[in-house]
Amino acid sequence: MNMQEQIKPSKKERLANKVRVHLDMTVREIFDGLEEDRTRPEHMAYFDRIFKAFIHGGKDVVQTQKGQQMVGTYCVFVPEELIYACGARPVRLCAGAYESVEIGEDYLPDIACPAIKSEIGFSVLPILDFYQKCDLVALPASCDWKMKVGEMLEEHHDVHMLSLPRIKELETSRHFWLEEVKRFKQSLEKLTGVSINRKRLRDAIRRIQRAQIEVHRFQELRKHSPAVIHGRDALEVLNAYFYDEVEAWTEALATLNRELEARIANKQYVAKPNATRLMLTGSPMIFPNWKIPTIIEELGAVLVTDEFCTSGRYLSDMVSVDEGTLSDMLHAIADRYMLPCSCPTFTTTTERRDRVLQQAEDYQVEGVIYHVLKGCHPFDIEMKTIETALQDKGIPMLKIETDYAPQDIEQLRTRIEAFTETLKGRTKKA
Amino acid sequence: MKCFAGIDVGSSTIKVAITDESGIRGYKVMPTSVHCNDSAFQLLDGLRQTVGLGEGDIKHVTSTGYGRRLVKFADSNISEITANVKGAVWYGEQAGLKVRTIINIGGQDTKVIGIDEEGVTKNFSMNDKCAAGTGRFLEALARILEVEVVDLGDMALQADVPLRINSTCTVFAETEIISLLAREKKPSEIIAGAHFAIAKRLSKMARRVKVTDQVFFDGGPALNKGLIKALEDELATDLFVPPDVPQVTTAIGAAMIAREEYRSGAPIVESPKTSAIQGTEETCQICPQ
Repeated sequence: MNMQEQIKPSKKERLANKVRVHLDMTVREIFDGLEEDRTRPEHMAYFDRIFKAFIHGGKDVVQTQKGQQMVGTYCVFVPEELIYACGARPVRLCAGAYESVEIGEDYLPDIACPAIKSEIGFSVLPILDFYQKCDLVALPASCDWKMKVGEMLEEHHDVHMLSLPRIKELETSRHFWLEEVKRFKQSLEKLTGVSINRKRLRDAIRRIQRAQIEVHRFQELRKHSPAVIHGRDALEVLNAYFYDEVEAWTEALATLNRELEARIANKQYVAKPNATRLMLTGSPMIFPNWKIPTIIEELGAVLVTDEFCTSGRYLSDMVSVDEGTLSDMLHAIADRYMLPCSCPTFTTTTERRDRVLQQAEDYQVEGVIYHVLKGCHPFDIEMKTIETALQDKGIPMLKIETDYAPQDIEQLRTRIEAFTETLKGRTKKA
Repeated sequence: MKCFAGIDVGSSTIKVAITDESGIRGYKVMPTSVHCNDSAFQLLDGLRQTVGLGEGDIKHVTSTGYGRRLVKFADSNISEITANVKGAVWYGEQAGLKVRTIINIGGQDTKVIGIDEEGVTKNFSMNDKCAAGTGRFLEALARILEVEVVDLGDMALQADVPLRINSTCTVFAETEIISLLAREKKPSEIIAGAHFAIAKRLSKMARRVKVTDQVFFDGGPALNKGLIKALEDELATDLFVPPDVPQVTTAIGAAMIAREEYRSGAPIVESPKTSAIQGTEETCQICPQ
């Protein structure tokens, strides 16, 4: 073979290609595995399609209209209402791919959390199409890592950093955050050339509210015992919102909800009536990092709820508008993204503890798995307090500290299996 | 006429090469048999006649490879790492490339060799005693899938998305592959996945040596285009594969060493540089081999 005559791809393209091939294999492996599960609701196919599109560079993951601007977002604090109001399309870039972690490791210290390593990997190399296509990236400085990542991303994107107050209950924080929301609005208006007026913003708020109504309906259905949907599928549904257009996604979730309601009526469940009901909390799990939910449900336990910023509490809180003036709506948006949010970076441990306890009670949870991504200190620090509080309520908790690497799957399986066996033993005694 | 021969006795094939004062006269490959010495002699003798040399024309013979000490008629023998480097650097020079890394996959071992600016071995990493990710693994793969080894490469290139295969251990991979077949997965995608498993294992070995361009890939499996692609993807670099018969590099290197020895009148003693070579051996924990 004569290589001198070929046009050689650059080293960057070659590295990106390497990551892509591995990511393709991972996605393939996940969905080949899911095909074996005959109990899955039919309408999961809609959400599967979004993630299957990650194969071969993810060109169809995010489908935008011609000329529509794409705004990449991180964390749960970026007001998507404003992005939709100016006709742009939000895409959440928080990442869970082990494959790109390796790339990110060249840019970050070992101790950095795998989420930002994965995100940096996707930003510096042309692995997935939609990371490269963002016209603006909105990044809240929610933790130390995110703060520094913002600076690093500036080499690759136009970045709008959102300064997040550290103590959210203070009145000063509320004012401060409102100003940050307004500053973001200006940034979007400059990007799109669209001025966000009252009508545009009201429409955008309503579109997202409709999605949230379906999410609430979905979460209510998950309370049913025996479970009608696997927790892994629920994570998938909510994770899909990262990439999908809000109305299309709402429609798909409404269809799924109808299917789940029909399944309850027909007594068609995905888990046995005595399946152990588990809850996940702590650091988020993002596609394709589904190793823990997959292990849980392969063991016959069922993941009934989670408290992740990427799924369980991603779309739970609504914007509540009093007057309907532009200023009132901006106030309402600022409040919605800050006050009810339980991210430990700016929420007291007691507030998050009470949330977790309430959620465990609402979903009749028998045990909680506390997930800490290596390097995610805010969640790690709160662990002890939450563990004690759960124990007081008679709910055992298992802490799992891990990253995105698949190497510890068998060890995790043993630990989770032993944990669920212990829980079963307790139920029998009682 | 002054000619020199190199004989590389590998676990699967014996390779011979003849050089004259300036270049390569010819080379030949045959499967390894139990009678190594006789086979090697016949192979060399056959090649000698093919290239039109008389009986006394071969002045010096150097053997190499895992069976190098079985070749009783050789004047000297040398390790396959040194011979491989010699041959690869020569091939590189012919193509105007400076070879700095060699990846060699043989019938039962795998090597990654780092070469310095002057063409001398710097360090290497090899897996010994285990056929994981070697030519044997490819043979086992072909057997399980009931295809010919030579067809593996083209079949792998037809795959859309390779299926993940986690093990390159010939024993464990077989179980994985059979389970994929039971789930009616396409053979092409299984093969592509197996090639990636080899590439991944190799890239781990290569990390210690630090892969530097230009990378030279030889050994029998270098005939496999699917494996070349998987390695190029995994190492994120182009591989330079010697044309026609990638198995004979080491035999050519040995023939060149024979020539040097003849000229200098003494066996090539290890230079201070080569004695400082650092090697690592990979041994897996699964089986006592």
